[in-house]
Amino acid sequence: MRQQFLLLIVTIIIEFFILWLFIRKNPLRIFFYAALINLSTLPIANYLYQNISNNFLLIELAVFLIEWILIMVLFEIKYYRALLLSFIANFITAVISLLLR
Amino acid sequence: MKKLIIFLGLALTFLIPSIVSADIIEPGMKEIDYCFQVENIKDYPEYVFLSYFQEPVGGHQVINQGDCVSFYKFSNPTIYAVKKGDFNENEIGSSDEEEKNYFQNNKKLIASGLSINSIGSVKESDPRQKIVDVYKIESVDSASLKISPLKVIYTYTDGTSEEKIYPSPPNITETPKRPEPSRKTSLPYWFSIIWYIVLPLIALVIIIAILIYRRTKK
Repeated sequence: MRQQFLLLIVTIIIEFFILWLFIRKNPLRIFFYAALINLSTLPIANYLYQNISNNFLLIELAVFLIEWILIMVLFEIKYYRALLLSFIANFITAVISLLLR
Repeated sequence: MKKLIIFLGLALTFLIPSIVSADIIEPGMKEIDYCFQVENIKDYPEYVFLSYFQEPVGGHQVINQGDCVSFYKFSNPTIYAVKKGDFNENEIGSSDEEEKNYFQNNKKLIASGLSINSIGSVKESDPRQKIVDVYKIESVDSASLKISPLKVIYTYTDGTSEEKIYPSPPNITETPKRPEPSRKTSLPYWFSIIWYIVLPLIALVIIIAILIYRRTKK
């Protein structure tokens, strides 16, 4: 349980920094949105990985696509910018989780 | 067009590593010890039993009573028997090619048809730390070697272990499925509900509320 929460918090913080690096305004709002985005995707991704499929990359791809849409609508930015942000954020969190092992 | 190429490039970056990551322990997974034993080797003193790890680089081991044979997870080992008088380990040779040739072309070797299924990794929340398959020699003669799975011993991370007996296969040539352990991955019920349902639901409701609020404000 502790590990799940830790993973969630680390992911939110990393994604917040990445989003903030590109958006650069109202950090509190960015943090709030980053938390909302990850709270809606990470537990479900976790469930899918633990119970449905072992394919980490496929689940990561699904998360990347969902977060792309959520970033686009929450931050009201163009789709290609949201796509890039979602990719960078998910790529970095995926790499970090691989390196931490 | 440029954007499409960027999109496809990004998608490929996610997908390509799946092809080459077969040997990497994925996040959420842990390595698990696996080995197999042959229980009644001592009942066949006139034979030598060998395990040959044909893939990917070869290797072999003489199996003695009590040995737990571990191997690289993709090795696909085969167990052989050979009469003691017909066995000279030096004949196997030192190179992979000589070894392969020995195991594939030596008429004195009797191969078992047993399929040995190793487990390299399991989910991190899996309480198992070690799996030992125990096999039993049913019969051996100059033409055939019959070995069947007898039981599996699961050792858990807390040091306890349990034995599960393999079911009798529906078909004599078929290797039966390894029995499941009694202890499985599970989170407390209340945590599962909060983690998998309540939290994502609350987050989605807030996201939808933000979007509705923005729309009504405009």
